[in-house]
Amino acid sequence: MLGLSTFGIARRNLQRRPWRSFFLIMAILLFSFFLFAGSVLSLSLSRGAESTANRLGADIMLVPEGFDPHVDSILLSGKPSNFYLPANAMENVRNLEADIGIAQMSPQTFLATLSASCCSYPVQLVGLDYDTDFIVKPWMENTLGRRLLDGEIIVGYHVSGWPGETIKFFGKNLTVAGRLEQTGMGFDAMVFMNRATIAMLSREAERIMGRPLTNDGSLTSVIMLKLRPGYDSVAAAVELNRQLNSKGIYALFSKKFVNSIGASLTAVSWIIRGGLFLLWILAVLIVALIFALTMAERRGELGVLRALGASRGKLLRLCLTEAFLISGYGAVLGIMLGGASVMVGSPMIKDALRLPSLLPSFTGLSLLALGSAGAAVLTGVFAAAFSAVRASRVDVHEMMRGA
Amino acid sequence: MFAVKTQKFLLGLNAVLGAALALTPFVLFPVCADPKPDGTPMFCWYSGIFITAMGVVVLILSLLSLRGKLTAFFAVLSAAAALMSWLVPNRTVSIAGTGWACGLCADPTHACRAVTLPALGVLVTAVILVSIAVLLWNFVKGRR
Repeated sequence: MLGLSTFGIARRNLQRRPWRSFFLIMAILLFSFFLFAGSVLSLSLSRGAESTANRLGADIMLVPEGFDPHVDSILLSGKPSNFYLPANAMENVRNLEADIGIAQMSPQTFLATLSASCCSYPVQLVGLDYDTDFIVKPWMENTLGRRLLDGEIIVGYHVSGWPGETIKFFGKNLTVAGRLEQTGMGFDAMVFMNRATIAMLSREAERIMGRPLTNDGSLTSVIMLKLRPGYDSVAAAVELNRQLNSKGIYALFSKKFVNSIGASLTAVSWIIRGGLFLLWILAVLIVALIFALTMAERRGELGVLRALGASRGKLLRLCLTEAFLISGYGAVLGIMLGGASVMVGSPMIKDALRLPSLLPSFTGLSLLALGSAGAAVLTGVFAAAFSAVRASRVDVHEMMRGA
Repeated sequence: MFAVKTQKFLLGLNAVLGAALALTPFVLFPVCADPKPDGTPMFCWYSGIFITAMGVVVLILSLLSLRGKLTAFFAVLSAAAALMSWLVPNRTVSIAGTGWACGLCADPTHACRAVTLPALGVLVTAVILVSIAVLLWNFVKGRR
C-alpha cells in the first residue's frame, strides 16, 4: 500500500498514466542500454588491441611469400594453417643479422590438426624454439614456472583441456601442462609445444596424410625478429624484403598489424561515441518534452496541492521524484538488458568486426554499469528539472484557473 | 482491467516461450543425436538437459507470476534462467563434472551449432525482452 509521502504520490502519478510512463522509461532504458553496451564494447576492443600490442613482442615477422595477408587472420582468430618457409630461411636471415640490427630471432612452427572424428575440430599447433623464443616464453613461464618438456602442451584459453589431462593429436597423447590466460586474440585458440614435440607430430601428420608437409623438409613457418634499440622496423622490413623476396621470404613489420588494428579501433570507437551522443540528445529531448507537456496538463492538480498547503519546494520534490523513479527504473532495466546483450553478443561482434576483444573484469563491468546507470538517472532528472522548476513557481491562482 | 490483461498476456507469452525453450533441445530443434566414438554422450546432450531444465524454470515462474504476487522477482529470475541457457552451452559459464561437461560441438556443421543454437538465441532473446516488458509494465500499471 503506497502512503501519501512524496514517493507514494509520485509513484501513483506515474501509474495513473501507464503508457506515458512506459515511453518515458523506454527512452531512459534505451539510453542506458546503449551507453553501457557501447562502453563495454569500446573498452573490450581497447583491451584487445592493448593485449595484441603487448603479445606481439616481435618487431618483424618473416613469413612465406604469399602468406602475409593470412597472418592477420591467424593472429586474430587462430585459424588453423600450415605454411612453411624455405629450409635455408634461418641461415639467410643470420647472414643479414649485423646489417639489419637483429638482436634476437626465433623460429616457430605452425601445424593444423585434422578433424578425425565427429567430435574433433582443427586447432592450430605452434612449436616454439624454447631456447630462443622471446614472445610466448615469458608469459608461458608465468603460467608453468618451468621449461616445457617433450610431450607436453600449453593450451590457449578457449581450447578444452586442464592441467594433467591428455589430448590426442595425430594419434599421439600429449599432456596438458597449463592453460594460458585470455588474450582476446588468436592465441586463445592455439596449442603451444616445444620443437621436439611438434617435429614428432609433423612426422605423424605426414604418415597419416601420406605426403610430406614440405618439399624441402623445412619445419619453420615464421621467424620472429627483435631489433636492437635505434633500428627502425619499417626500414629493416623494407631491406629484408629487398634481399629475401627472391628467396620466397616476406618480411612483415608487426607495427603495421598493430597500427591497422588501432586505426579500425579508432573508427569503431568514434562511431560508438557519436551514436551515444546522438542518443543522449534524443533522450534529453524526449524526457524534457514529455515532462513539459505533463506539467502543463497537470496545472490544475498542482494548483489543488498548493491550495491544500503544499509548498513550492514540495511540488518541486514531487516532480523530481517522478523523474527520478522513471530514470532509475529505466536505467536499471537498461543495464540488465545491456549486460545480457554483452554476454550473448560479444563473441559475434568480435567475429564481425575482426578485431581482438577482451571483456573487462567483473569489477570493471560493475563500475561501468554504475556509471551508465548514474548518467541515465542524471539525464532524466535534469531533463525534467526545467519543467519541474517552472511548474513549482507558477502562482496558485493561475494554476487553479487552468484546472 | 486493460493493465491486468496486458500483464497476463505478457506472462502467458513468457510461459509459452519457456515451454518452447524446454522443448528445443530434444524435440523442436534437436541437438546431435549420435554419441561420441567411445559411446558416451556428447557435450551438447548435457547442454540439452540444462536448456530443458531452464525452460521448465521459465515456464513455472511465468505461471506462478499469474497469481499476481512477486511478479517482478519472478521476471528477473526468468530472464536469468534464459540467459544461463545461452551462457552454459557456450561455456561462458562452465558446468562440468567427472566425465561430463555442458558445451557444444566445435564443428559448425553439427546440429547443435547449425540448428539448435540459432533457435536458442531467438528464444533466449525473446524471453529476456518479454521479462523486461513484464518488469516495465509491473512498475507502471498500478492497481486500478
